[in-house]
Amino acid sequence: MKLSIEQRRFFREYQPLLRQIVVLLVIFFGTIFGIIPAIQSSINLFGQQSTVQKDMNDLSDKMNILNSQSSESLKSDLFEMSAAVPTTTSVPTLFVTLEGVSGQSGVSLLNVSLSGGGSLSTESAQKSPAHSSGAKAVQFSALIDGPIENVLQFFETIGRVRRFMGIKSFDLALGVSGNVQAKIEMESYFAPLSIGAASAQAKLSPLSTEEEEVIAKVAALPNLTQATELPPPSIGIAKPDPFAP
Amino acid sequence: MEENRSINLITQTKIPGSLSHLIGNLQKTTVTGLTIFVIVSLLVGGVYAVLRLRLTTLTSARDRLRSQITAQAEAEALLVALKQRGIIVGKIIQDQIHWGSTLSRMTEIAPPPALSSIAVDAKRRVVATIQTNTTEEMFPILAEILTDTENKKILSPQVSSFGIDKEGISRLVITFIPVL
Repeated sequence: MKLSIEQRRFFREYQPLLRQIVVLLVIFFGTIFGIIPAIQSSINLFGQQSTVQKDMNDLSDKMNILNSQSSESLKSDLFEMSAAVPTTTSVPTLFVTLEGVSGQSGVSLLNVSLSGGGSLSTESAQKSPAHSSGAKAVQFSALIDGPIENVLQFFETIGRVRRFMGIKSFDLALGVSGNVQAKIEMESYFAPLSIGAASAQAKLSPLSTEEEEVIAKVAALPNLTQATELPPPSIGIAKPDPFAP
Repeated sequence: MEENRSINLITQTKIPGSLSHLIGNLQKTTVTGLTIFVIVSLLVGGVYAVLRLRLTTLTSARDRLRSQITAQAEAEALLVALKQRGIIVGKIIQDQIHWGSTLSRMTEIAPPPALSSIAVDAKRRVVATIQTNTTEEMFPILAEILTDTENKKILSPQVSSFGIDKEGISRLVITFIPVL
């Protein structure tokens, strides 16, 4: 496109003015399309950086907590706690503990019966009455016989063994011979182990003083049952046979 | 008048004086604006670059930490499970009732065979049956129970029944709630 002589003359005459206008336009559009978006992006980046920094702090705290606990000691503590409140109804350990307490106290364990007919089956176990702690209860009754001192010893010991049992009610009859027969309605507790894969971002807090005290209390209690292995946590490991024990 | 004999093919600009003054001012504004624009552009660009770099560094550090934590998933799962079990066990310990002390106290108050039976129901109410050969023997037992009531060791004691049979044996059935 060729400019006429007049147009060329106009541009030549107004060149300084046009140059200023062009520069001002560059500044204007540069600000609109360059600086302002860059400032907005910087603000966004700053926000993202704050979020990532917070994540980093949380993760660092979590890492410190995990580093301060050894897997072995955690396993051992969990094993002890699971002896006090097993992951399943664990009726054999219940009987062994009862026998152990009876033996230690010097009373005869005449009879033990589970209150729920099907409380051994999984479905019935799931329907077991819940304790206020969130654990499920296996209810049973025991009939013991022995001298009064020994029966008192049984009552003292029953709540101080690592397999927790609670006495709901009892009926104690003192015979002429001096022996006492006691029918005790009791419950023991179990709570399934809920080991699941938590996300790395999930918050984690260290063991509190109260929790450590509880662990120490449980560890100090005598364990009258034979040691059983704690199932390894199945995190991210698919069981080849889900029905395998 | 001297004639301008030089040949000038380019004619002089015909910008009026006022416009020329405006152009001068505009030039100053343009220079100032351009300077500010360049400085602000550099600053914003610098800040953006620094923020981008820091974000990249932080993100990679966070990802590294995440993978380290994932590697410790077993310890984490154990800790979480231990804490959950700790809450359950702690609550059970708190709720545990040791009846041994109540029974011991009852055998102190009414040593067997005076204490013939003792039962506790689900509401923690104790029902004790005490029998003595004479009614007089019952008085110190009742006095002890009253003392324990005054000392707030037992609550709401009630005599359910009291009787004397043909052979003169007194039988007292008393209920109370022990303070455990």
